[in-house]
Amino acid sequence: MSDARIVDALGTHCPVPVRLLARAIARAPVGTKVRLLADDPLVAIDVPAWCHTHGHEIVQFTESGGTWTAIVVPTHAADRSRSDDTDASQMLI
Amino acid sequence: MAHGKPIYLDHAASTPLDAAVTDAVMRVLACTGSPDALHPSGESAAALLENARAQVAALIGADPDEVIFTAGATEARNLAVKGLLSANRARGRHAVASVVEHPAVLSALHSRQREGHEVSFVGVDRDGYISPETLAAAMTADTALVSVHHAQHEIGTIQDLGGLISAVRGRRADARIHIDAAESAGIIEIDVGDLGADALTMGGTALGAPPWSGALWLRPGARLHPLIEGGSQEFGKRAGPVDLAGAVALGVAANRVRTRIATRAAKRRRQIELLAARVLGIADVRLNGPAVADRLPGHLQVSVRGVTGESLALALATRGVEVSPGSTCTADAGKASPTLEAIGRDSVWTHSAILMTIGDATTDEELRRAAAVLASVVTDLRAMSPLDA
Repeated sequence: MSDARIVDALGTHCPVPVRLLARAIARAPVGTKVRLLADDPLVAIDVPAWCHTHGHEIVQFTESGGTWTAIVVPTHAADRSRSDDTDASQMLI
Repeated sequence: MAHGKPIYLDHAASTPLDAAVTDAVMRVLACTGSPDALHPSGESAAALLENARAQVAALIGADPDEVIFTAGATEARNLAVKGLLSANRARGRHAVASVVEHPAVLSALHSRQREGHEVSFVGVDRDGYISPETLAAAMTADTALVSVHHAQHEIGTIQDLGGLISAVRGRRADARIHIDAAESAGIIEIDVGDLGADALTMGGTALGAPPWSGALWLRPGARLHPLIEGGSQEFGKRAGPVDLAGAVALGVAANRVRTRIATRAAKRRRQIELLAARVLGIADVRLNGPAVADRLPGHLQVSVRGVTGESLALALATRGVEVSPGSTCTADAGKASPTLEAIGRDSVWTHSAILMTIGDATTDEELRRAAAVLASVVTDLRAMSPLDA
């Protein structure tokens, strides 16, 4: 995935991985995939839910050795980081 | 003894701030608003922070999103060593570093040893150079991290990063490599795009920013666990409110030096040669580290037979010249400098070092006067020193 923007959320916990994913998607050039690395098990719930809500497509979601990797294709790359952050902050479980 | 303004030759520890840096800091201190807040005051603070991030990134050819602000270089070093080892456990539990790394790197590695990691420390030659072959030979199939410095903090040795990184990659392509560039970034050109490293530490002092400012560059995908958890600040790699004043100071300073690195280094190189020519003319004074022309510009450490570095620094201060004992971090304990021991100096020289470092505003006349005062102080101290009996 050399064309993907990598988001290293390792060592962070909900809702930080989703916040970081939202920030990266908001800043990603059109057509750029985003690859999220995280080791908080809650991303298995948070990330699909957040992507579904915002219409982003998850093309790969794997777990290996306690690290989850999600490759997300943003549906648009408009600058919406502030609103995305707001949404993500409400994802406390 | 009456004297005017001190001749300050301790710029590696702390350096006077340019007016542009001070003004920027004062403006930040007068502002209210967290960069994380959603209201206009918060957005203003966020804009300041992101502008600073872009300025620091530009200095080293990085993307702004790859820069993590820290409270000084020591924190950045700890974050790199501990964070990379923790997040890359799947790659292995072994680390390699030289014996003359900064104490922050060495201590971080020692703490990982207590947590079950294995660490190999490689020696250096008589000028402080790390051999690429030795570094690679110390690696194993379990090596997850190699941490080496760019410019050595005591003796100013500039490592051949290209050779070292190539040797490491040849041994294990996916090992993580941390470069401690706290002493060099801003004085020597660095482009992380060409470097082949995974993380790089920067410190405020070398840039002309406060010593409590610093940053860690992290290659995307390098994998790093935070030291401080609890928030999404700094991309989740350093939770808690960022020191906005420090970040802005670092950014302004980086922006000031970015286009002046060559002239800045040339001035320091010329001036340290001026100082060295006089200091090394004093009897039984030895240069530690590489030849003056080859070392970190503006950086001179010498040992003075017959007196201790602390005595020299204190006596010089009373006569208006401010320098550092050769090894600040071990001086309090009365230990010999590990760096000087590593380059083969015997005990006559390992306790008697002083470090003199030049800043942007240092003048030739100050250096001439400092050398003359040093000669006088050495004579006086040797006359009363039991070490010189």
